[in-house]
Amino acid sequence: MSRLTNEMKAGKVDALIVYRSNPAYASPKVWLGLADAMKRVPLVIVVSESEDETGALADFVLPDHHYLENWGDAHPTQAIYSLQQPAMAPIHSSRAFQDSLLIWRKAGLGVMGLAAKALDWHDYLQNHWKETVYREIGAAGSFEDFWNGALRSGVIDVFAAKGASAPRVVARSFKTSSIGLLPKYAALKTDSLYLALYAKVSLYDGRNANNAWLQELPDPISSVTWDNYLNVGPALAKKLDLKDDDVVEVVADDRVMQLPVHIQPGLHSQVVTAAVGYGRSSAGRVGDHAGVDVFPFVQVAESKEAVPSLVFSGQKVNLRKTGKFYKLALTQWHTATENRPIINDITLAEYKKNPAESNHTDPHLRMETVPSLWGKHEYKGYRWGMAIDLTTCTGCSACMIACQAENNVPVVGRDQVRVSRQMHWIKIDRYYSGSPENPNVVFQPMLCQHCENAPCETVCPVLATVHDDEGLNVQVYNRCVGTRYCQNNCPYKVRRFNFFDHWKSYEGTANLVWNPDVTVRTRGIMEKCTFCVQRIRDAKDQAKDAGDRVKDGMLKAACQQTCPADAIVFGDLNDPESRVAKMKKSPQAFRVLEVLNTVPAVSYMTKVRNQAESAHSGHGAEHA
Amino acid sequence: MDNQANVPQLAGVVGFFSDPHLLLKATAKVRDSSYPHFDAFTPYPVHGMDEAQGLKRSPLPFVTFAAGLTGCTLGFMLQYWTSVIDWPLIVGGKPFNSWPAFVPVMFECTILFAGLGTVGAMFLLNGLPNHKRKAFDPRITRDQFALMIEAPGAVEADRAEGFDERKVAEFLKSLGAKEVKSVYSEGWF
Amino acid sequence: MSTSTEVTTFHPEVLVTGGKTYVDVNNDVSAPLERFPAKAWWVCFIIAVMTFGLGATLAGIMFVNGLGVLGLNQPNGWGIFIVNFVFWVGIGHAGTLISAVLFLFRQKWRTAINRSAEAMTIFAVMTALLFPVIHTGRPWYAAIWLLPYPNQRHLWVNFRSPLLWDVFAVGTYFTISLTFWFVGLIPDLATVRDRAKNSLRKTIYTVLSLGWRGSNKNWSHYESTYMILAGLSTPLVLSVHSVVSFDFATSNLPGWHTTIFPPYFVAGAIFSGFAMVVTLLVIAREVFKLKDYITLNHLEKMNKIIMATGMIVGYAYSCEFFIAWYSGSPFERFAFINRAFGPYWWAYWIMVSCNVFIPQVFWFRKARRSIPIMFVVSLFVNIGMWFERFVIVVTSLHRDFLPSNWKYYVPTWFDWGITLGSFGWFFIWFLLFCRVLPVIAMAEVKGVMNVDEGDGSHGPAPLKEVPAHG
Repeated sequence: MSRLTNEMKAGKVDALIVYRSNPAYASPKVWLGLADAMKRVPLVIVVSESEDETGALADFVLPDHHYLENWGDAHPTQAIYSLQQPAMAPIHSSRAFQDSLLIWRKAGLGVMGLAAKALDWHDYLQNHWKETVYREIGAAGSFEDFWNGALRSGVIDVFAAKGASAPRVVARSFKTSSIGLLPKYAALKTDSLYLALYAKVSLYDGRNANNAWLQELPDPISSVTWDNYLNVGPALAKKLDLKDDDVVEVVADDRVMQLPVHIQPGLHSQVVTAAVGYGRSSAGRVGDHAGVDVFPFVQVAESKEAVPSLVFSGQKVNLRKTGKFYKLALTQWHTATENRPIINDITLAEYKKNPAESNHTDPHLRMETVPSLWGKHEYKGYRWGMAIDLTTCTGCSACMIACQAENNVPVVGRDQVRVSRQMHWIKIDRYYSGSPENPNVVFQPMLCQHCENAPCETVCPVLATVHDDEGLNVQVYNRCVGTRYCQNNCPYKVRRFNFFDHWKSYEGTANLVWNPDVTVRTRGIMEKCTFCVQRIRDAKDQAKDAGDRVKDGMLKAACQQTCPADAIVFGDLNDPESRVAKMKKSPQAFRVLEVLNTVPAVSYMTKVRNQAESAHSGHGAEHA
Repeated sequence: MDNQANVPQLAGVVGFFSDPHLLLKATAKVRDSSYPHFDAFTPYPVHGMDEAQGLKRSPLPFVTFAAGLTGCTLGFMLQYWTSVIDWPLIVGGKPFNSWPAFVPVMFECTILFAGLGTVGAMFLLNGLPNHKRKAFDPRITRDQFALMIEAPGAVEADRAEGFDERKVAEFLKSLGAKEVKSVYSEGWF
Repeated sequence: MSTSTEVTTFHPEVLVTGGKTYVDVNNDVSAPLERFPAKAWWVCFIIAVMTFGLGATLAGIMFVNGLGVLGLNQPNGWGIFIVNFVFWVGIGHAGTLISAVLFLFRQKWRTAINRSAEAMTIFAVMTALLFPVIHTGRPWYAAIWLLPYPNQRHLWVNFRSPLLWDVFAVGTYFTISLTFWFVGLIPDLATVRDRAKNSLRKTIYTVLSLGWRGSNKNWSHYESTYMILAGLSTPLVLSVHSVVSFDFATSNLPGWHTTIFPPYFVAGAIFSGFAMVVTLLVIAREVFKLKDYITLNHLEKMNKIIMATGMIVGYAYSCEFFIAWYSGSPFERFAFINRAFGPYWWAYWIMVSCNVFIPQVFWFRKARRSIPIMFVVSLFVNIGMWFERFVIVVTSLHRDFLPSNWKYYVPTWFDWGITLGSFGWFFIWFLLFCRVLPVIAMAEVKGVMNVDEGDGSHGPAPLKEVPAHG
């Protein structure tokens, strides 16, 4: 980057084409003097899918197709080829960059007096595959057959295609001596403060800033939405007398920025951190001015032999209180379980010794059999249930986005999150335990438990929420009058009320985001996780067409489908061979707040930690 | 004293008393006399007047009981039929016939039916609303106590006693009435 | 007065002072209806109308935009509006207590206050009923779908839900209270009719009084009805606030889920209702010059009831705390500690001061009979009782089972404005009532007063004087 910028400043660059990249934001732009440099370039073309800061400096901005609208291919590993085909016609009048290049090539050749065939990107791509991949595979049959097959499966496995028996992955050895090549870690001066910048899982380097879903996704650790902040460890916060939402000024050399404070248990007392990707100025209606741009604090490390590299961590900073406040929009305000029967965790050693020890809820708060005045309803057919493994759940929150996408869960905006009206049907509760300096963490996805003795159903005056004969707690949107008694009576507080007509803020093409299989709710109506009932219905229909039952694994809830760790398992509890039924029977399984006799259909697996000491959640210090 | 439509009929003779005790005594005497139809008029219910008039106890409590029982039964039937027969739904894991939960509504229906039934029966027994504008005097609601001996009706059988206006007036005066008037049907005295 | 020498002379309490006659009763009570309202009435009425207008406007904006304009959130699904609902229903209960229960206990002093107390009940219930409707997400449906009417889709309601019990209980309560109040009004409407000079007035009151003529045959059935209605209203009033308390008691939230709620709520309702009666009557007797009918004795008796029920409420507070500890349930224990020392501690201590400490001043007779003191105490009692419902609703909701859900509830200007509007609505009706209906039950007062007509005093009919039959 710095070499390019120097050349631009020197006037050596005649034309600059920027493709799907945003250096005018996501770089140490001030240090580089990028804006001035770009002004000296006679022709600046920016090709991107949306408006951005680089486009604001360009002479021409060419809208590129979205990946769903375009052809393309990929070669992720040596043995895998993948084809990308358009899933929809272009919504806007965009043009594939590849097509632009081909057009310019033809025009350029024309200028030189050479004729060229008019090519489009699809033909070019097809031709390229014919010359390369097809030849490499050496497949029998025509290219058309090969091409159509590739399109259908999407992936070409070279090894499999060649019928090779050679192993796919070549294991390499690890030279432990290479660790010595790492730079030595200089001891910290005891009174200095160091800044570390990181990218959030949601916005990454800011490219997703205009994505409302991702802005409203609570950070898995801090649960803050819509803003970045300065993470300050508890000891440092005490020393400097800082509280959450205090605005501090971070000063380093000639750079200054103001950020609200978030006290982060477990953070080193001499380190403060902040996330990049915020404070954009040309991201769009959603992303603009969300948070503070910390890219100016990214440093460039000059290196004699290598190209200069970006350094995100390690610079010394000073903090100064401003006396101002900025209310961060958090989704979880209290971080301890208060010794309540919510979480179970156990060390590996204890688990190995006796797996039955997993469930260490206080026996008084554990109800095995409950005397009942009447018998239970029977569920003879399917009985849908879920099991969530707390050990494998990393808190990444992909399930939250998947649920939002599948079920038309609306975005409510920062001000509404501030007053606790976010609509996510599944959320990740994060509980700390142990000492604030070095806490243990448990992530617990919390969603509607579809209780057999659902407290919400009893109190709805209009029968808008009842139990179906497959164990689902169903919510009937068009009957709900919005008394919110069900929300009050739900001990898990997983029900979400539509306080406004959020759907009205989805204008124009934003309406294409709705899943047509699911209702869009209006204001005044309660909603909650339905175990993706539309998918259940679809799976049952397909099974019926095949004259069979829904088999385990055929049906996946959206959260389950997206979880990268396979922590969520969904299926038929009445099928003893299903994964979920087996998980429910294991000694690791427990249910949240079982003492209330709600009989949830969702079981959780005790978190097994690979730790020496036992530090059960709920015992020990809590923080605000 | 014709029975032609355009001549107002004699309804009775009324005597006014300024004191409820005097009225009580007078009423008791009229009760013991041979005049079968009479009534007392007071600004407030005078204790002992029912006995003085020889009135039987009001049958309304029986109406209350019957209406209340009806309400209770209907309340239960409504809930049972809708929750168990017409559209049984699994709600909170509870049985379809959640009769403990049905009790509050049954209780309220009992009281509602009992109350409205009683009041309705009272209106019926009292001839309310008094749209025939049966005789009354504006002084009753102020501070006067009155006793009216009603004239027999149009039916011949009732004429058996022979009703002499002057005799009745004298009788009332003898009981202590400070003012005696004849009253004609339709409207004010 | 006629006495029997064997019987100890019984001097009934003087319930109407100032040597009033029956004619005086009619004049004093009916006069305000027959003259053009005083400036004071107009000022109050205009303020009430403007306040209601403010509330109605804000409610209109709320209907168009959504409940988001209020302070509700997740987990605080209920807030100020439900507090108001319980508050107003509770206030209504005093009227029924005065009408029905004091009647059954033969407390003659109730006759001077029962008319306005019952009117207060009806208007309080009308005010209360506003809230369950407007606080729903879709009030245009909530108003009808909570009623079990036959429809094409065979939809019924959930009779297991306390909200449905509310529909029946409060609906029955309103109907029976209105009926009881109207039945009691009939003789007085006849009185107003008989005094009416203006022919439109006369027609209206003739229709309303149903042509009542004071016939004792009618009185006989009437008295029976009155007694029956009193006998029905007593269990009704106990059941209604019990059912309202079931909205909380049958849920599972710590702090809500407790069997003490029905008697606790009923006692609290009587407590706040009597305080509201005192507030209203202290003003009404002054403005309408009814001090001889609503005497200091009447007010003193009401203050005694206020203190007694206040002490029941105080006992219930301590009982709840004890049981929370004794139960050993961490949820319960936390809920009560949170009430007293958590983020809403200030509401809790306002409640305790106003409900438990302040009414103790009524141990002193001088305080019981002092107009300024009782007026101030009655206001504080109602403030305290409002905060009691606030503490119950908000502290249990904002911190329940899962700590990850713990959030605050902060009411907005819409919450307060609409609450204020409800007071306006109540006072509009009460002021209209004072203007068009007699605020004292004239017929009933005549029945219990000692009348001195100058020619020997005539008490109410002595205990046994009816000559035997035949």
